[in-house]
Amino acid sequence: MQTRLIVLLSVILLTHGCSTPGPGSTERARLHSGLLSNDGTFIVEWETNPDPIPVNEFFVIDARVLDAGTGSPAADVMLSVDAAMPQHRHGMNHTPAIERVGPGHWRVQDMLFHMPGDWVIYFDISRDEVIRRAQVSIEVD
Amino acid sequence: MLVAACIIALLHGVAEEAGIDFTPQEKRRILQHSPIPPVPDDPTNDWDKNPGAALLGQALFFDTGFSRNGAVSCSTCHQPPRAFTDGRSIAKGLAPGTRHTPGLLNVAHQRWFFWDGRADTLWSQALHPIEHPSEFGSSRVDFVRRIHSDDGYRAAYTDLFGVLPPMEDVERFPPGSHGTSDAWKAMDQADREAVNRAMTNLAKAVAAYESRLRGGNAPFDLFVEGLRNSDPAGMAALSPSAQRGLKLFVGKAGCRQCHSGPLFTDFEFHNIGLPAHHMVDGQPLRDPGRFDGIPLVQKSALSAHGSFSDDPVGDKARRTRSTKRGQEHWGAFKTPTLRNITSTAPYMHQGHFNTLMDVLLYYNTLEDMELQDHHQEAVLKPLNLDEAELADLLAFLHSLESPLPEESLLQAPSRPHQVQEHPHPDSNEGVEQ
Ligand code: HEC
Ligand code: HEC
Repeated sequence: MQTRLIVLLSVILLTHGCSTPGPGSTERARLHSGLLSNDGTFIVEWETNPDPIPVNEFFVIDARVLDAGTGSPAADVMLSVDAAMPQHRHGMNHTPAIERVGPGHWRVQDMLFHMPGDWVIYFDISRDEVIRRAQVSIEVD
Repeated sequence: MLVAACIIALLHGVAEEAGIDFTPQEKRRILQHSPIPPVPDDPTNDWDKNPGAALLGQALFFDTGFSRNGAVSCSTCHQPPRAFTDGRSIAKGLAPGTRHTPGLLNVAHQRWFFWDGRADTLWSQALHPIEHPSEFGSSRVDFVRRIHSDDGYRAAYTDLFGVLPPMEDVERFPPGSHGTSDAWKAMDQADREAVNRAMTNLAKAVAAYESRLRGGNAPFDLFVEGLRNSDPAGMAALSPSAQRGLKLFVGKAGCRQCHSGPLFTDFEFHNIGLPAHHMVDGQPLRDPGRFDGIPLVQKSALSAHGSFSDDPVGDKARRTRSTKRGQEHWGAFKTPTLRNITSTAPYMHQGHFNTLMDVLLYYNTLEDMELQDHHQEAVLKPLNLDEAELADLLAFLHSLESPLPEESLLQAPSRPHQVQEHPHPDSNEGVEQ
């Protein structure tokens, strides 16, 4: 039930908006915009390379965090990213390496969905010691 | 046009005859399993694609002279005709070990080495057997000394890597000095460093050889090629029964969740609940597997992030460091490849099962499954397949049998360094390359 809800939410929240080709990829990477944190404070825009996410191959996430109120980059927040397979009760095998590449802008390496199935990516955004989470479910197959 | 129509009619005919139709989803999944891609580069080993290094490594692989009793080589346990396994439940070198010998075909594709992944590079794996008491039972100093005192080996080594330490000096390099011995600890720091450097160079040569151990096309690969090109002749490489087994494999049997990709392994670790099978001193051996493998590889000075690596700050090094360890890793073992699985009985990390059907029966019922607490990964459920389905799955597994690599890779090479009966330590003569 819970996962259904998440899937539903993410379908609603994910708009396959403006597309920019990912670096070095022939496919067009989709920019996922409008992923809201649970309390609506932040918007996460993110894309992956490769796209779509392949089973059991390392991929990179490029993520931008915006203040939902103003739409401008949230330059004063920290981001951490993780992912899990809730139905299998396990997460990823590596802690992703996150690098800030600009104001409100991060590059996340060492993401690996080693099994096919339903994964959830968590974007945890902290400001002033309060952590807000935006999450999205993804099926890789 | 007419040709196309004929092909379609023919295809249709074959599909009907065999009664196997694959859905687009099944087809997409099946295509992920073949072909095997080229061997990836190993940036931590500058010699991984070097033919001379591979030849030296091949000589080392088949040479029993490095073991304490002169009777054990890598190929004692990794026997080419058995797809580089030994037919035993538990390996035996100088003495019985504690785990089953895995095969080495396509091994250079792996992310981690050993059942518990306690090595993160192919070359660092090769260092373990030398001093392991139940494998070669030797020491690094004796290992490097034998290279030094054999003209052929010495010439091959110096051509590739430069000079060897002056191993003839037994005061500086005492015989029998293995990594934990007092003699080793008493050695000069620079001398220890030099021996470690030589030993890791030799291990990189062994890895260069191992990375050439590629299997050829299995019937399954011919089938996939046929499926990809809608070519019924290619698809005929699999019997209808094997095709039904494949459907189960990528479908309701759920095998591809872990046995994914062209090598039928995700290269990662899972606890599939096998109860301990091997007895040590009358007690079942409870093996922590990956739970212990993670700290071992992270602490090892010989890992991808160590000073003997040729890429100590690269992706591999970072990923070894960032590997997470949790309760779910207790009793988890690396998913084995299913390629050439017919040749590699018995099965599992303690050789639990003698036949592939026994393996399938385990997955079918999960009888005797040992559940961890709630930390256990929740993937496996009893499959409850009927007899015909089990036979189909088995037929499919049999179709993963690849021809072995070329004959010249399956035995000791005669050049460049014929192993000498009576090595002459003072001779400087190299053999022609
Ligand atoms: C006494 C038998 C024996 C000998 C000798 C031996 N091995 Fe192994 N090998 C094993 C066993 C058993 C394992 C698995 C051990 C474990 O997981 O702890 C293994 C694991 C490996 C692996 C890892 C494969 C994988 O998929 O993880 C490689 C590579 C390998 N051996 C190469 C070698 C080389 C090279 C040599 C010679 C320097 C050698 N072995 C000598 C028994 C042996
Ligand atoms: C949860 C992941 C997972 C799933 C699902 C899974 N396996 Fe495995 N398989 C493994 C692991 C891990 C091992 C090694 C276990 C050990 O030794 O403790 C293994 C071992 C095997 C072996 C023995 C290989 C060897 O060389 O010893 C065979 C054969 C096998 N599996 C076939 C299958 C088939 C067929 C299916 C589907 C019915 C399946 N597996 C489903 C993870 C899985």
